[in-house]
Amino acid sequence: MTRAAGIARVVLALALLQSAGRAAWAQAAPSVQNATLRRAVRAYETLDYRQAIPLAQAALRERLSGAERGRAYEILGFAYSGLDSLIKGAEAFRQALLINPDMRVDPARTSPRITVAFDLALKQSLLVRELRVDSTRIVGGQGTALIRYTVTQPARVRVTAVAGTRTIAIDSGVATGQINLPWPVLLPDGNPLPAGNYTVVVQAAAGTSSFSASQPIRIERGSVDTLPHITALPEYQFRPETEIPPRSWRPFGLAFLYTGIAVAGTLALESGDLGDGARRELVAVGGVTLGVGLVSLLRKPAPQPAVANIDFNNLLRDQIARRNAETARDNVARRRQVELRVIPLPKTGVGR
Amino acid sequence: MRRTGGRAVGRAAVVLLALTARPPDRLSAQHVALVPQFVVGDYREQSAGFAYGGIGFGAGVAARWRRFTGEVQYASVDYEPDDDGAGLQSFRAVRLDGGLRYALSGTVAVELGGIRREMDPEAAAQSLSAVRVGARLSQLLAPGARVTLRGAYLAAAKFSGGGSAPFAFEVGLGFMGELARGRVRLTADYDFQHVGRKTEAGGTEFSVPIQEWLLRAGAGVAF
Repeated sequence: MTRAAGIARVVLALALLQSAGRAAWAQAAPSVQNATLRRAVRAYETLDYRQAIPLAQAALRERLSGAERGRAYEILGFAYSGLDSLIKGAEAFRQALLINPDMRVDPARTSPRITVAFDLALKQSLLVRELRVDSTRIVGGQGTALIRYTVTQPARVRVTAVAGTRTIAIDSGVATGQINLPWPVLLPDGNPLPAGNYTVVVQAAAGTSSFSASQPIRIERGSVDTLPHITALPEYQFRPETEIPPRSWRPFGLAFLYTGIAVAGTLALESGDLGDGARRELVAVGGVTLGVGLVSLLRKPAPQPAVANIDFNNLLRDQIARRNAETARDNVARRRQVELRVIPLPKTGVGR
Repeated sequence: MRRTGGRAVGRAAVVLLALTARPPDRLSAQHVALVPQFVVGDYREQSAGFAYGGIGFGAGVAARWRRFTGEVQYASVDYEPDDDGAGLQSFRAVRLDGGLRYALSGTVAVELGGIRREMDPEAAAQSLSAVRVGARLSQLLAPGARVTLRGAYLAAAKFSGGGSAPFAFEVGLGFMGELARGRVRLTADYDFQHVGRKTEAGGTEFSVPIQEWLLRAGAGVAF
């Protein structure tokens, strides 16, 4: 490979990276109304950095909206970085971040020179970025909503919820990096926040620098669902409290035994001198006894109480009653509880 | 002798009235049963030639309190000689049995009581009185059906014609069925009694045994 061919390949690779960065930036860019700024954007998109820089600077001297001003600084940041002017690029990015702290560049699709300048700008600035309040549904006093944000430098951070003239402190302390702040959505007296629109404000201060970001939210209140009473436990069925015992010879055996003993006793005690009695009395009673014993043997056994099943059912009823009592107590508490819904709203402004 | 039987009936009636007259709250711990009975009997004395058969009526009253059961049985049987040509005299036997049982368990009980059997006319057969010491086994054959086996020794037997009976025993078999949750009782009782009576005349001892088979079938109420 010749030296000229190698240089040509490097230039081609840089051009591809820059065009990729432009593409990523262009996708996220808002519409531009200012004509000078539109010309600066076109100049940047045609890689005419030397033309894009003075046009962006001229646009900044004109009347621009906040978003357009941020866009102008972004063009300056990209253009200076593309021309290897790292310090100027970082400064331009810093100004852009102060207007739009959530701005980010995709390292996979942007030239390393640009990302280096962007990271330098981040390190030089005290920012509160990527403030998010998660959409949450909680029971007042039992759960928390999550407030997430990133502080770019160590700073004293104060988080508040503001509604009109009322400010409710949420958290205060020194923080840096990505913060996940659980918020119980309660007033200082412990009661749930009243329903309404609030603004969660995160203020960071370090030395003479300060920055704040905000996220509007809406708090809605509702009642907590009560639990129904149960009549059965899953996987536990009531058992039959009677069962038919197996057929038994015992009744007939007892009748036979008792009758036999009575016959034997009579025969043993009878005196031969008095002749043989008719014994019709014994035959009658013995016949009745044996008959009842035989009927008891042949008849389908009557259902008998199943003690084990009765005990099981009693335990099951006790358990269900205990669960229902717990449910009733729980429902009493639930009727006093408030369900809070935290709904983040679209942002209307930018950090300052 | 008829007056004697009347007194026995009167005594049984007094006992019955005494039991049934108790106020309900006192009866709640007891179980009282009253059972009118039809009675069939066979009576023999001295030899096979003195054999009688008869029918009559009776009644039984039983009251239970905890492990104790008191029972009174009355029976009046008109006996006729089996052999009309033997010149034997008919008579009425009035029998009163009473006793107190103590249940050792649900099956076994011991009994102490007495028997008195009077004949009318008195000379037709031997009257008897004795003390009864016995035991009984009782088992359920089915719900509401109970079978009972009894055995007793008759001690201190006395007879209207004199004599003694060192060997005197009873054997009994009984069936009781309960209906209407125990309010109605059907009973069938068999009693066999052998009394080895001995008499003495002129220094010579004679054996004059007495035997009676008795069937009592009844239907009554319990409360």
